[in-house]
Amino acid sequence: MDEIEGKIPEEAPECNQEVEDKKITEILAGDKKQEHREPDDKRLVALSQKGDKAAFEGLVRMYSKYVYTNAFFMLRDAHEAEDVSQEVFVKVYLSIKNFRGLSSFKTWLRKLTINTCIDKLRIKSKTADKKVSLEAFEENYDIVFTDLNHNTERNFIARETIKEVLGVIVNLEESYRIPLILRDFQDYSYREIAILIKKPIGTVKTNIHRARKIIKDKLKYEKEKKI
Amino acid sequence: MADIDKYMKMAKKVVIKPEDHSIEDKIIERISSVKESDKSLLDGNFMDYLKKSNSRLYLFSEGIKNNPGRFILVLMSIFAVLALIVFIFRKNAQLCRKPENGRKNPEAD
Repeated sequence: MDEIEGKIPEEAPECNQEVEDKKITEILAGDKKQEHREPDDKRLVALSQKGDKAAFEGLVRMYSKYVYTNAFFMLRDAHEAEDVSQEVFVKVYLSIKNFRGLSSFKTWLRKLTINTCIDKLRIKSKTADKKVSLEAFEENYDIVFTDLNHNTERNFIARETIKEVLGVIVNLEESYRIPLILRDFQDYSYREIAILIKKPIGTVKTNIHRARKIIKDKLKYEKEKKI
Repeated sequence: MADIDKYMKMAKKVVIKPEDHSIEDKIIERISSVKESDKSLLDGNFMDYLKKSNSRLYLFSEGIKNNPGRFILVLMSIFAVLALIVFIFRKNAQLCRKPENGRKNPEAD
């Protein structure tokens, strides 16, 4: 496993410093493994294109959580995220022979996931927009951190703040959430977002700016509440 | 806003674990039972995406459209390098001509 669970035990963090340090070492080791991921997935893609099922299963194990996470943030529904993950991998399985590798496999998979999610959102746009409470979000989902620095105290604060940020994002209105995720998490350009969600580029920019402001204000409010 | 950017960058690398932790097995099971009817998933939208992702020309034009500033910068750099080469070439040609003229004059005398 190249990921370490980010859930923090209830006890004070300094009591578990040794465990924490071990975790960080493993996280860093995980990051190094991730650096070697690209050649690995190229080999697996090449083998999958020749019909090697075990190689394709390797790709599934490598990227299933990545696809699931992207789908979850787009759709904020665990079951739909699961359905989309399965659909995406079936599409990939059926068409991998036609993948020419002009972009990386991860990029291809990510864009395919986003396109599938956008299609789903278009279908369910008439249904009620559900909200996920921050508590439920933290209780029901294990958040795995793959990028943290050495300082344990800072790590703890960062993890808590990231959880808060994710909680706010998950609860944003769709018109704010989707452009923000596409821009900040998926690195889409404003132009690409405008085409995908069929909105003018100016609206996209405004909504992203407003979404960031909402997150900033909520974090500020939470900070003041704690003090 | 700088703080938000920092946390957004970190949040980008977060992975959510599914509730029942068996998403990989479910996907593998789903793939092992792929039928002919599943080919309907490869609809027009998907085929369009596949075609575009396999086209160098499309990816190149998208790259320019998404980042016109960078493209202009690259063009300007190429133009500057070409201008420099032409300038050096002309300067060299001028320097070559001058001594010849210089030599011709004493010979003529």
